[in-house]
Amino acid sequence: MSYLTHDITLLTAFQNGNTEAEKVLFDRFFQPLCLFADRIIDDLQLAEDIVSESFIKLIDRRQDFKALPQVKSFLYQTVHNASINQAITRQRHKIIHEKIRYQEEQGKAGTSEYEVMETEILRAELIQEIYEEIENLPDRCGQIFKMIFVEQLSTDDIAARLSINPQTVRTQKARAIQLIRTALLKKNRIPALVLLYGWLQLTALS
Amino acid sequence: MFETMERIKELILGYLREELSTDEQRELDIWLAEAPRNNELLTEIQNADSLAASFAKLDRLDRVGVWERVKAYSEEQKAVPFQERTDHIGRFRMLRWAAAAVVLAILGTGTWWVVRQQHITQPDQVSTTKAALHDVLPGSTKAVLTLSSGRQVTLDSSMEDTVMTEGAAIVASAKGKLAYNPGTDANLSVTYNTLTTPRGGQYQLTLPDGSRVWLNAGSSITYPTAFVGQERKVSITGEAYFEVSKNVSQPFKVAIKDLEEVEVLGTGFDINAYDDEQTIKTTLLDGSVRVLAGTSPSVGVNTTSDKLSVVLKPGQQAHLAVAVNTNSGSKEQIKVLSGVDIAGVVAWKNGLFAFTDADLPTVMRQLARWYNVEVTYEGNIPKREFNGKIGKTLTLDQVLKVLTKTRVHYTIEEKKLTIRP
Repeated sequence: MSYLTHDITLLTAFQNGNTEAEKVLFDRFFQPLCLFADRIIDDLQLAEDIVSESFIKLIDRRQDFKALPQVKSFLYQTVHNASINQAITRQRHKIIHEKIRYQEEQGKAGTSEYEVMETEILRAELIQEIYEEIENLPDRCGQIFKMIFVEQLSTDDIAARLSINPQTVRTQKARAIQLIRTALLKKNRIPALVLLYGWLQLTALS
Repeated sequence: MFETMERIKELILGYLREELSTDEQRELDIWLAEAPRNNELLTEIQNADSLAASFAKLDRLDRVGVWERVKAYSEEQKAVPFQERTDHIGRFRMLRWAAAAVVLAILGTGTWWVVRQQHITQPDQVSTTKAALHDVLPGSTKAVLTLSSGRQVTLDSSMEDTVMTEGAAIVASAKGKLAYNPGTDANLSVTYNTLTTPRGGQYQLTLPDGSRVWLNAGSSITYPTAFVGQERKVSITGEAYFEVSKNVSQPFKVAIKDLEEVEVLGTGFDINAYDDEQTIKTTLLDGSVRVLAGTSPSVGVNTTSDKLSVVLKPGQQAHLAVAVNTNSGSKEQIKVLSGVDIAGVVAWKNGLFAFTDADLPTVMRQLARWYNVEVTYEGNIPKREFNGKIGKTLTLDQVLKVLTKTRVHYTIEEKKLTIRP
């Protein structure tokens, strides 16, 4: 599948109707698009619907794109428009409130909707990348981090699952937060993670 | 817009990893100073609680489900322009096959799919004759459902949606897909059904617990109409891909005659157990499965120490050799391969043939099943290695034309494919 890692061949394959290429595009953009839509409408299920519709529209216009950035732009723009429409019809004025707030902050005539959208896209993609890094953590470390950050288990639940003291869990959570900023995102810092894991094991025995 | 954004994204990730050079840090600082929301974004990204909330959302997304919808729509779209493409090239037309075509309808906050009949056009007279003799049309969605009474129902593209009642379950049938919903009367007896795909067919089934099964050509699955009891047990022949619903109190098991059993502890996996293949290959995509050589005894009896078993992790593939001479008491060896090309293994259910360092006979066996042809070799079998992916909706001649770039010579006569040296 190596030919699909190059943007030019990916786009060509997509235009030829290659299902693998469609999936690569889908996997790349689906999650951040959903986060992006959810920020506007605050409804994850609806966000999924909006995003799936946008991929369908993309497929309808398969031949219109000359380069991959155009595909990305189209997807975000389509999702943005559909989300705003939904927000208005459902009377959720979150983003409109944000716009007003930014305008006040800037003290200018108005930050463009365009700039807000840019930041939102950036936010969605960053969260996606960090999430993927956590997903790729090896084994037990990944499990523990997932328990804390993804499953959002309560301190008591984690304590019960690992058979340790709840106070220990709180301390470890604080340490994990520290690690997320320093060791976690450094791709070569596996020893630090092993250290945390080892420490968790030790405290489990106490 | 996106070039600067990509750059900022890289800077932020570099910042989090503490890998930024002084110049890069300065670049980031400039961006941070441009607007308060930029600074807010950077703070938010480092806030574990806020990240956790976002991660929880990502976790709740049904990526697989949405992809299936999008893919189904795409396949329907492709069936239309393909006709125009072949006209333009001036080649013989193809018979379009009815994919599991769906139409999107948004109701309220949910989205659901309604099945729609796909048109089938007839090729013109001249090309039909030509196609029939020297080319073979690809397979399509078709299967035979055998009910517990022995009655057989043919499922193919020409049928309407139907709903049947069978034992404890209600069977809903849509083109390309068969679904069992648990019936409301729990006292009805459980019966067994078998879904069989012929060579040149494929089908998708939803079991009473919501688990989904994709059947490749020349395969079958036997299953109960309701999952009662301590286990969910099904058996297969040929090749099937499973996505199993989680239920820890009722483990899911797949049996391949008495040669192998797969105990499902997780979700997505493929079993390739064709009779004409030398090994039974079980590939895990997601979750976890245990592969046992032989069959496990009934629940409660613990003799697992006698049987060979391995637990697979995602990306691993178990090979169980089908012994030519089976002596009672002989132990089968299960080999485990890691880092397997997952996409290649399940390419068949996504409309593609995928080959990685495959020899000619391996390629031909797959083609034979999908095109329902008999393959013979004149002279020695050419030593070739095939790599790549080819669409399954192409005709046999089109596929072979791609492959003959590696200098394989062949002729097609009715349903017989002859490979020449």
